Amino acid sequence: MSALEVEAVADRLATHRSAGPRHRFGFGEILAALFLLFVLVAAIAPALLSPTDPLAIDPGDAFSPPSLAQIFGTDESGRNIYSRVVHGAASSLVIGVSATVIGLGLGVLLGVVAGLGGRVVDFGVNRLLEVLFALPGLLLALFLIVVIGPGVVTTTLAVGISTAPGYARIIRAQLIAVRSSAYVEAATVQGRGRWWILRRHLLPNTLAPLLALGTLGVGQAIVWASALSFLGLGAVPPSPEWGAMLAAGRTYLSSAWWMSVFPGLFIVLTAVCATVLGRGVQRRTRQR
Amino acid sequence: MTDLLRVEGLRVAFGERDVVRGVDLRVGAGECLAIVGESGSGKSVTARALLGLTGGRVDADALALNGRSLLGLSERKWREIRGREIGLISQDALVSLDPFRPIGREIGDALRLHTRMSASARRGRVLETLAEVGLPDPALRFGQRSGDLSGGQRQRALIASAVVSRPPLIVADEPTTALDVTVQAQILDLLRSLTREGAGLVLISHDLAVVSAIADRIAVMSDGVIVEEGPTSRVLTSPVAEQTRALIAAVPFGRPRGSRLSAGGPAASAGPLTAPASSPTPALRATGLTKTFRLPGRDPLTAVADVSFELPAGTTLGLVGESGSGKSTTARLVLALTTPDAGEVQVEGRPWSALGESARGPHRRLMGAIYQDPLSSFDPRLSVRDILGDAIPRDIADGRTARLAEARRLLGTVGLDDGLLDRRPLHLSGGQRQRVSIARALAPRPRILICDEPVSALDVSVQATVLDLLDELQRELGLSYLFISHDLGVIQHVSDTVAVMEAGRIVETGPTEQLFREPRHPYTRRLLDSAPRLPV
Repeated sequence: MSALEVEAVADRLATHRSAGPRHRFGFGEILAALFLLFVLVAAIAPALLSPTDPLAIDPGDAFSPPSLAQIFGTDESGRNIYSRVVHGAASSLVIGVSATVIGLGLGVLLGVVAGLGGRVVDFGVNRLLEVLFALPGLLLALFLIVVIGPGVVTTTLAVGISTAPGYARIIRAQLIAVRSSAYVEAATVQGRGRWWILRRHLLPNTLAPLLALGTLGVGQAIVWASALSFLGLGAVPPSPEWGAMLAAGRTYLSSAWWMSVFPGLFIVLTAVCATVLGRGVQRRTRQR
Repeated sequence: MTDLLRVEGLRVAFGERDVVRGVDLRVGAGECLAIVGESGSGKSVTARALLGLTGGRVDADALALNGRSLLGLSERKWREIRGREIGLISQDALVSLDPFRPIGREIGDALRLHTRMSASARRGRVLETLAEVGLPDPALRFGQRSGDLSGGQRQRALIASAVVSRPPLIVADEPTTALDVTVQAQILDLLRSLTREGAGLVLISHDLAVVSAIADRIAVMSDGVIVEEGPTSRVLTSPVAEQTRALIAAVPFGRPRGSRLSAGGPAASAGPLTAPASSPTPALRATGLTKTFRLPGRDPLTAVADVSFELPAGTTLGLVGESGSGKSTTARLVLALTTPDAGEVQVEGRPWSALGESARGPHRRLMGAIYQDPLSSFDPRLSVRDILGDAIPRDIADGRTARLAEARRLLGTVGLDDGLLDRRPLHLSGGQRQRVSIARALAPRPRILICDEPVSALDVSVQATVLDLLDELQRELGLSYLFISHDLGVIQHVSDTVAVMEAGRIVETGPTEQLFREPRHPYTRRLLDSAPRLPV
């Protein structure tokens, strides 16, 4: 395209963009928020959404398909799958959120140390991050679980630690960009000290994108935690955890598809909704 | 003479806003019409409307090129016109050229789209055009990308892309605004030679001095209408419209120090500056400053070499030079943002660059800084209130209400309304931003201001008001300015003493009047010859 054509296109795009309203929630974002609200209520007060006991067995009613009485059907011990999915929300959500918090916390720590610590520290942290990046995140999590031993706490820790390098990179880059900005220079000229600049300019401008990153990260963390449970490394079988339920249903997939499909659907939907919402937050914070 | 371009009653509206409200234009072959006006006057929109590039609602009684009407053309038809019948030269060659394509191909596009020339014929024509626009070694340039070229070369390449298919009409929108004066002079020469060959030229600019050299006729635009039009000499010598007079008055070149450039306010406040040389020690003294940058894989670059100057208290030292001459590095050395490899900066007779940051910190409030791009010098999260509040030291105003009152006072000092307190800098105009940045610099009551190209990003008329403000503040507060600019007109207007920098060295220094009357160094003479000025 010639320079002229580029300009023509850019002009048209610009008029298009300025024409649309800016701060309206999309239909998708509203749906995502509603679904996450459902999961949140399920996590906090599962009894509200499903009065039946997720652990109550009824061998006479095993493998019954979805029906009006039991909308998600029952599993091999006759347990109500809907009830188990609702009660499983808590552990999935707790693992997802705590893993993200751990990942972000570690990421901020490493990123800030690298971004502010001077050349030698920056070099060291960067090489460490590169080593961690060389391993796929899930593999790193598996490795950690092998070292510490399986369990819910371990899963959370492992997922948190394996997501930390990504956050650290983003924070370091952002910090370096802000540090060399003209407004930090202007504050130096005013005679402001390092700590004041850190508190007033560096941290707020670096950490602002974290809210969006965190929302995006929760979805990913839930998928990872479920994956680990699926492999039998997370929550222990009788307790209703989505990944574990998915694994339990796998054996009966040809005869009782509902045992795997519904927990799987919830994992996917939660991750997708968290991502949709995260993108929305990201767009809004960037616009300012 | 038949008109090449005839425009009658051109109107452009965006949404509810009428940006251009009934403009008539005529351009003959071989003629240059300059459209001049402040930013927001509608001149650029008018220019783009000639190429069907505006968007919005365009409407006219007549819009004809060579007698053929351009009204209501489809986008496809417009594409045939653009590049073949009308060439566009825009301001920023850096963004207008594709960084990943060789410029030869970029320039050849117009031929590929609009002619049936063979590839080799196209190549021949492009090489010919590259030579015409004065790019040395066209065969080498042909294969280079825009990033390999200097600013002036890029602008030439862009001009080449506009003229390669020999369009009868060329529209140039601020074609030299981003360029150094010597390069600007060459580009203006080039544009003039195009009109001699018979092309019609519509030249858009905010600076009357720039266009006065090559325009046959000038149209002055304001608020979407043409307020005055006529032959260049007539418009410049006996302007009728008030807006034209304001634009002429805003040109700083040849205007003595202390005379006002903008209309309104107290007239010519105090004649020549009553130099309050109360203090015998200079506000600022630099001796033998040297700074070399060593980048891996490149030759070391000596940005500043053995630079010495003195800034007497209460006066202005103008530091002038082209981009890359080391002016900004000098400013950073003076502001102690970087340490010199050799030499020293002293402030009010006391060591400055030799101090450690912790010893210097408390004294930093002696010195304020104003930057070329005020927007990037503000934290995007903060409002004007926060920006000023941060800059006010505790001992001047402590506590919320005292700070707020001081912030209001500062805004008043720079002539801004305190309704702007809760705005973010992004939502201010260019002139307002620079005023806020001046207010911030003044907050700790400094005695020295380092002004690094403070008006280069502004329109001539906004520039005039900011220069007037700086002048007033100097008188009232007895400030000393180190004023850095590439614009000789601005430097002549604001400085008591001028230092000319070339390639990291100060090649000539002297009292302003003397240096402009009898420049000794050839580089100074070259700069002076290139500077656009109004014919007197």
